Amino acid sequence: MLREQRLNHETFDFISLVVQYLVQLEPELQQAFYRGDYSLVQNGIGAFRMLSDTMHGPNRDNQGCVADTGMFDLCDRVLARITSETPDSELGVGKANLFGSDNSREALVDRNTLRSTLKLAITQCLAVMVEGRDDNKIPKQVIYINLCI
Amino acid sequence: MRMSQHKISGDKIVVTSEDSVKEPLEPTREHCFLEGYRRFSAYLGYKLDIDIKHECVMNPAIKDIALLFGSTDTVHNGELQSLKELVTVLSEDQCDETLRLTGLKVLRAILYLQPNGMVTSPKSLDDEYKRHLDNLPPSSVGEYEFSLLQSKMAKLGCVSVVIKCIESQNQEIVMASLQLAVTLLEGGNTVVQQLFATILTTPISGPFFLQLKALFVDSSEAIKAEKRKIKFAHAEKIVLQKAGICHIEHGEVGLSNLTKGRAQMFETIKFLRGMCTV
Repeated sequence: MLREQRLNHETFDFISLVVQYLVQLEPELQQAFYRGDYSLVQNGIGAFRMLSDTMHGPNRDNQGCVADTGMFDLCDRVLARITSETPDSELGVGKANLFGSDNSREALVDRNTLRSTLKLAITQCLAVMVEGRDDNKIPKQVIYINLCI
Repeated sequence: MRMSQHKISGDKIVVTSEDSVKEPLEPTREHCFLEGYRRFSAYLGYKLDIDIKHECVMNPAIKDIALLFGSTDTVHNGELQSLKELVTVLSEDQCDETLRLTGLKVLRAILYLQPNGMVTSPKSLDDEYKRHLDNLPPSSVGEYEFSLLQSKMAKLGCVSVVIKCIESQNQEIVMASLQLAVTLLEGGNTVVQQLFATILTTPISGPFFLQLKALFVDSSEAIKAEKRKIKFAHAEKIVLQKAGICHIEHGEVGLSNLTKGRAQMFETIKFLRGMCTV
């Protein structure tokens, strides 16, 4: 139903729309942590979790639909770009200063926790994509991402 | 005192009748009434200890109405017939927007407060209502009584109300409908999912899906606008720093304007997720 509304005059693929939304969100995610713009990150986490739930079962049609939307490249980019900060990380401190965000240890831990939550949502999404698959197409792409990480 | 005495030279200023100072305009009756009403509201809010902000003004009343309509102890509501009547009114095309918005919030508050449930102490009711206001999931998610109430409310017509109200042009009503839908589906209630699926797989669901699509389009536009604003603010800050000028804070760039749009998108995604969660 989320992918196709068969009896309607006009039909929309909401699974692809969610992936497109994530693609638009992705370039902003890294800076969002430093800006303290956590609502943007929460939207990203929610979208990845939603995609996981649509494929869970497994729902092979939804798995195929998500796999054809450039999801692997998206996951690859997010996993590569979002890295945890350490207290003595010059890059992190520099960026945090640039955006005027909180440099305290508590704020840093909060940011890293949110980063881990986002990465967990992505890995869960990738795991559900290969759920019950007996062909090579999707698992191969997932393995390729894992090798890159 | 002559200006020449202060060594100010130049032609004499000749004041003509056209340069006369204009009297300030008399405030209109409407303006006076609105100003007086604003002051009266502020005074009444202070006296009765009510938050008079637009979104908060009805909150205490919504809690009371939810307890009234959700309880089977209320007169003429033994079988929740008054609640069903309210749901029917909210589904009608001619329903007033303010009533619709309040009604949607009341229906959601009933799910949180569970007026017929075990939680009856004023403090626990207050805590639960605070969760409702903070948009947190009810503390009783996953409990049998909560899923029973979700199913009962959905069968009373709340699903139809959600589908009807999401088509509204009023963004507050759309947001309240999405929040109600999320609370109805909280915890993956299969009965509610089935009721949604039954209605949404018919051709009458066209406007509903069209509105959901519009929310995605609006959100994409908002992200693009946000990117432009952030880039501009960032470039401005760097230029000012290079010029040795202390940066003037304009507040959080673009964030306040976008909060509502993002919150709407967050609820939309939660709703779509709720439709698939088992």
